[in-house]
Amino acid sequence: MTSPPDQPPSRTNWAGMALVSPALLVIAIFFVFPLLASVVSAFQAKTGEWTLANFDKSFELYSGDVGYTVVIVAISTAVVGLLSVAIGGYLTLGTNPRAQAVLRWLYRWPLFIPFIVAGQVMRTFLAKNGLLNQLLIGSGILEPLAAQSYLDWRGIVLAFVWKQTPFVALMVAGAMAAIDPAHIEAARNLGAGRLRILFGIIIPQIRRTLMVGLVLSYVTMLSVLSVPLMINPNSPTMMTVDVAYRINAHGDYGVANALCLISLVLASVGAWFYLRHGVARKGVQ
Amino acid sequence: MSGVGFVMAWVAANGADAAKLEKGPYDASQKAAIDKAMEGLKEFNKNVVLTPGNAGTLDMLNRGEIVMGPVWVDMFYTWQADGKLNPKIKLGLLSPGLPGQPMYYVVPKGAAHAELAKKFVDLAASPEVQADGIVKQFNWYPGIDPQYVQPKLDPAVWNKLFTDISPGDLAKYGRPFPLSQYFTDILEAYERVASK
Repeated sequence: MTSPPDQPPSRTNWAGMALVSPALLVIAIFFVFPLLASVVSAFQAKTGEWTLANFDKSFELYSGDVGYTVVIVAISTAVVGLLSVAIGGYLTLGTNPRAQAVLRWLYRWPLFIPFIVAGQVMRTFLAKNGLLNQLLIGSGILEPLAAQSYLDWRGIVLAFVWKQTPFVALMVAGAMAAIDPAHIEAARNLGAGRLRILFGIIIPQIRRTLMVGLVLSYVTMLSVLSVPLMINPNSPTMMTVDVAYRINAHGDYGVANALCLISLVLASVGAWFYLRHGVARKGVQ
Repeated sequence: MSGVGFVMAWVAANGADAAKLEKGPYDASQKAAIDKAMEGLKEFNKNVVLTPGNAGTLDMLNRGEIVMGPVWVDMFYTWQADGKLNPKIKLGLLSPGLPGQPMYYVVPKGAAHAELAKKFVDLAASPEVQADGIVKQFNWYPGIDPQYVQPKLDPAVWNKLFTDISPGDLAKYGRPFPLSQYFTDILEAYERVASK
């Protein structure tokens, strides 16, 4: 049965509204409202009057942590980008089918492991006398006295990269597989090497997918609490740890919300890239 | 949190009025002494390893990455009993003392069943419950004077808990945490001065 073509527009609108309203309501109640409450609380003193004191305190105590967070997330995003292009590139252009099969089977594993588990694994893996150093010492690569703990910014970057690379690599590899093979073959016939094909032919075509993957990773890493909490909760640390600390130790929602707003500004840099890309693509279509 | 206990002990031992921190009254002028203690702690921290929390400290002790660290006695014994900690690691309670969790029973004024509540408090603070629940089950130190708990315990359990630290040491060097307002001042001073 098909609907009559001359259906009154108002009825269609109401049906549409009814269909959309549960989703809208959920977003309004569970996202927009708490967000507004959080923004309001960031500008309020405990007594209720308007103030910028929460931001003053945030910058006085945690400006170093804001910088630390930006640096860690930026490094991690860059490394995730490089590794996922390398993985996707090998899956598309590799010449050894067995190595490709092994890589395809291996690289997705971390995708199914929660951040908190990754944090705990890294904590025993990267400690001064942890598994990594023991392996290196046991195989004669590292002198026992030279062993050092990686449970600082390096540990956090490693956990993030390990956890987020499969996510971006999955998107990138999918996009690479969807490229018309004729492009690659044409380049090959004209004598282009594999690296040249990767950077000259493939990456320009999957640029947008790569960027979307990296933006989503960037925002995800910005919001992870468990990894810095397990690996390096001391000063300097990531902003999520500070937010949890303000709430748990001080019951101080004002400063916690001010920190969250600063974090939101950092995340919106990613959102700006994401939206610009979305709008641009629509324009092309 | 065991590290927080150490910071509180550091402040009490390095310039602040320890008795005032524990018993009150609140006096904002202690803030200067607290800040000064934090400057010393900042220097001290240059030579220590900061661990990721209670479990992190125990892990690092067990792997031999640190030689001493502030730990909670209940976690220490529980981990040792579970085989997660080298049995050769021992506890010590340093002079002039370290704080533990303050544990109070409170009956609000005007409670509907105040008498019943008091009876419950008596039950919970009785030697039997302290022996079976607090010591045997959780490896905590008893919340009442240990000499009343000793007759209710197996000598083996008693000896396990009081091998490294005697009840006398515990009474002498076991301290309560500072009062809440001082506690907050110390936490803030740590962030403002020591961890900058």
